[in-house]
Amino acid sequence: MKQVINQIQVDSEQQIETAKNMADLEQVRIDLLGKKGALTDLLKNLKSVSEQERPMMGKLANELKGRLLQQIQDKKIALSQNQLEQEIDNDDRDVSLPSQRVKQGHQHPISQVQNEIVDILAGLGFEVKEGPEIENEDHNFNALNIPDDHPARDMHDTFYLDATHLLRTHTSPVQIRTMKSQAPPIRILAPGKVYRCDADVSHSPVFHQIEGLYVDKDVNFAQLKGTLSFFLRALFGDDREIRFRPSYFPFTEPSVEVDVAFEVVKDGKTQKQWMEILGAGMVNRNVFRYVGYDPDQVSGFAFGVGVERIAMLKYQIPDIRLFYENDQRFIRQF
Amino acid sequence: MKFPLSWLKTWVDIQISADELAERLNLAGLEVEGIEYIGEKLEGIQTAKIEEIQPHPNADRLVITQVSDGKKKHQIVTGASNISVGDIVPVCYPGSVIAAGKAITQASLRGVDSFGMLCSKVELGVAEEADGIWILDPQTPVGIDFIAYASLKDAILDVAILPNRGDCQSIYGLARDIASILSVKLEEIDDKIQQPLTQASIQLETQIPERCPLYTARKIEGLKIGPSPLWMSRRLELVGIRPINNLVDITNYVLLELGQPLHAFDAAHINDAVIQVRYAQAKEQLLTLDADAGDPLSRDLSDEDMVIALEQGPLALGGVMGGKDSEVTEETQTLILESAFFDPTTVRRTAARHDLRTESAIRFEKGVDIDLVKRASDRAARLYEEWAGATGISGLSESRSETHEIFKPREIPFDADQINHLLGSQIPKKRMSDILSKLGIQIKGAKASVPSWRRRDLSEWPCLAEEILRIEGIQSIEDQWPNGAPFIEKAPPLSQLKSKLSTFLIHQGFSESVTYPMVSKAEIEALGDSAESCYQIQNPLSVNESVLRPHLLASLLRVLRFNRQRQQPDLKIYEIANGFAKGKDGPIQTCFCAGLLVGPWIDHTYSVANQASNQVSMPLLKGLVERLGEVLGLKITLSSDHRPDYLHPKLSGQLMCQGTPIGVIGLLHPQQTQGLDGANEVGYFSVSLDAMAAMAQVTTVFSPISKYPSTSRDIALLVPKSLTYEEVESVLIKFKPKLAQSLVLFDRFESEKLGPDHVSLAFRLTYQQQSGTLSDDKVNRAHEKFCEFVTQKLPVQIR
Repeated sequence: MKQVINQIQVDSEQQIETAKNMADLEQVRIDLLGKKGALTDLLKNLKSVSEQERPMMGKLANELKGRLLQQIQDKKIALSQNQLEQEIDNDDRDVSLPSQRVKQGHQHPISQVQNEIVDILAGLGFEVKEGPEIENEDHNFNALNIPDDHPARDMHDTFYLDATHLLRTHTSPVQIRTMKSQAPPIRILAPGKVYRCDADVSHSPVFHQIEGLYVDKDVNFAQLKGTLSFFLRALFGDDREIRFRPSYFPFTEPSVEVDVAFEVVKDGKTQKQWMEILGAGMVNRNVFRYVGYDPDQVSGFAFGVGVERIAMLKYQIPDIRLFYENDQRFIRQF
Repeated sequence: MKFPLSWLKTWVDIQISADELAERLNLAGLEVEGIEYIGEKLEGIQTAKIEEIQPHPNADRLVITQVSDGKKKHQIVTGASNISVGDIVPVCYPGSVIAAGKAITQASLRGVDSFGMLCSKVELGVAEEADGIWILDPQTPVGIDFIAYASLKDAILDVAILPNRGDCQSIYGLARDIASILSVKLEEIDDKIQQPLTQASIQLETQIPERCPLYTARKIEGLKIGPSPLWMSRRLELVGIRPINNLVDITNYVLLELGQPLHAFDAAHINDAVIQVRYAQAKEQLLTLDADAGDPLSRDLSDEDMVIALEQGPLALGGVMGGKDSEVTEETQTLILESAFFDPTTVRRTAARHDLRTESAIRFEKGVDIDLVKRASDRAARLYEEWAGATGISGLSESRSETHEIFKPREIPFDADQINHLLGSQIPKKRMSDILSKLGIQIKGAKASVPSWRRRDLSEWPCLAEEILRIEGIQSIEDQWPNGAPFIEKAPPLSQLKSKLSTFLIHQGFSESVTYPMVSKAEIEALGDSAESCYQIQNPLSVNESVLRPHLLASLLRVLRFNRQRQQPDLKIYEIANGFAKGKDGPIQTCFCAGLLVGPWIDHTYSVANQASNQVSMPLLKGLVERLGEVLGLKITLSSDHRPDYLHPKLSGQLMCQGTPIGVIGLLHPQQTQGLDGANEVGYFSVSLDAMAAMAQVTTVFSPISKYPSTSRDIALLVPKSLTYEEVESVLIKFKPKLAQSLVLFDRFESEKLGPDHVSLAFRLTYQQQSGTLSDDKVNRAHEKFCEFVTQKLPVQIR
């Protein structure tokens, strides 16, 4: 009996060892422990062993069964591991194929610059206001101290729609609308499209401005200068040279224009040039009178920023018309 | 206006370079737009007299000249044919440099030595073309430095004169400001007529003194017409005015020099008649100086045009342009010189009406200096005396409206504290009054008296602050922060919507477009919209940009066409911008968010399985818009009640939110895509942000999550194609068991077995409750009952 047990052990261990796949292994298990399996037989035949030997043989046989089952189990794990490795090995899907995804869209550079400006100034407490693009003469001109026949109207090549309506030539009418509808203090930003009948490399009949207005008691020019200096440093960096120049706008006094330095290469030499990017000034007393504020009680400053100008400077875009073609090869660069 | 530096230097002592001057002017509010350097390379040009001309022995086209510089003779060989012995000409000797930068050397021309070159205007950089050598006036001194004499080397500053600085529209005016900026002395105007004046005899009659508060005229006799002196014609040329003859040039010269426009009438034409200043009468006409010689057409005058006239008819458009009939001619010996102050608005309107923006008109419309009117006439008379041989100069006849506001001195309050308060500065009062008095503004106690030349400009005390600021320099003001804490408010609803939608659409792969809101009438009508209800621009730059779009589609289609024509067929674009319509109470502006989609949803598909579900389709567009709504906290649904003509009659619909139409989606009507070069399936969506901004966002309320397991049951239906999905789904939702938490379509297919008229729709219902596990029995009963209802209510079979 003991010999039989030994023989089963030797045979089975070898068969388990050499099993090449799950099916082989299952066959080994059936041969051993199936209804007619060798070990099943052996266990059945224990009855025929002498009572004296039976406990001993029973123990040996059961130990053998346990051991073999464990070996089969181990082999099973090894085989499935093997099989998985095999499958992975046989997997020929190509990971180097191009990615599939919804590509990110691109925001227009005008919007990017506009948002950047609004974000900087929002931090100083300027609140966004919008107004109509179709305006009347009163809001666009008269209220801003540009009466009929004023030579300053030449600075605004106006598109007229009918006897009473025109396309606003600047975002300044939003100042008037805001002041007419609320009392100081006021700190607003008005971004939007404006229109001039003028078109070339640096002029587009449609362009974007951002108007700022701050009205309160004791607002002064030094604060205007401080605000604009901060704004331009935030936009262009601390190193960028800027200059304030006295200028003229009918709706502010004193008035200034602000230029930003940039470099151009001319005849192989790098030269500094100035680009005018915003106009500003202390709100003219006539504007306050028009909206019903007492110019002796309040003061204020206003500024208007040209968005395209800043975008052209920032991204070195040579022609303003590129913004409005919306060529996807252009838009995707931003 | 152009300002030659050499001319400015005759008025003020400028020791700095043109570049430095430009910088100073810029920082003082006079914008120098550019500097043109002329004759930069010229060197050593002199005048010489031709003493001898001999033929060249070896060349027919050349001659040998002997010229004299007054001390020495020089032999020069030239090809010129317009020279004669005795002519005075510009010459460059070896070592000199001509305008093009070429240095002249001694040379041998066909075997004859030549020691220099006789110069034409081209070589001296004065003209683009020349007929021959520049023959100078016989009075020109010989052997002098011709570069200086003829202002050949100069820097011309181009200064943009802003509307408030009419006082700087002349050499003298700008020089006066430079004198203040640089703290240097300004020269006096030479207006002292040497000869005794004859009796002022011209009769004037100003009928509209409010429009012409001062009109002066004088007679100048014994004139000899001829070319102007070189220095004068050169200065006119440098500023861009063509010299004509001394009689005309002197009026132009004084206009440029002093900023006071003058007009010279041929006295023979006026014949001592009364000169009137009045409005033109009905049907009056005037042949103006600019009339085409070949086809002279008189201008029809308006009764708002101010004219200088005789009883029988107008002589000139006041302050704008003279008439042809009374023009100075070769025969003129006596002229009537007009110097006046014309009302800026009247001149501006007349100039605009007749499209005559003359040098005179642009000066009058910004206002001339009332105190210079008479001095300018004297200055011109002085020049006629010296350069045109005038032998009889009359005193000034004048018509003056003493009560006119222009003669009133203007005083404005001056308060140094107030100015420092506005500027945020601490400029001492003494410094302020020094700056102002340098500018001619006299301070007397608390009053500032404005000089005649700044009367239109300086009207309130902040104007004084501006003057102080520009002379003191803006850089001297120290930056400050606005007072008080910023009052930050939440962005208004529209701005919020814009930024949320932009972010969403960009993440969905859409790129933003920014377009002109103007399109053509044809583009509007092609979409089936009425151009009548759109605003039209009365003065468009082109018909392509003449109508304001009612919505964004026409503009987006332009972008689509532009890109498709440039080998970029697939496009996902959006724009957030306004559309415009005429409303009963005026313009209606609506902010839209709209987009176009052509080509695959995922950009790069290369397997059939992916491509099938990747095409523009209504489910895809609906999904996009539903998600767009979710981003804003709004539920957007589709209704088929109303579709615009430009959308596909079946594959489109109206978008609804909270019972209000807010936009449209769909594929473009096949007719719309015909011009799109093969783009058949074009998806479009458009929503009104104004409508959505007004809507209450749905606030999320938490609902408890069941702890108990869920179980699902499917129902597959054989549905006739005459039923829409929406019709089936609405019944299913209506009869859905209470226990079912959700109902989802998970399979839809057609097959030969089902036949051409039927489709299979399979739905999965998920059953779950908040308290306790559902038994299979309970679920089965509910589901069976549901299936029964469905087959009763719909002409469908359960598969």
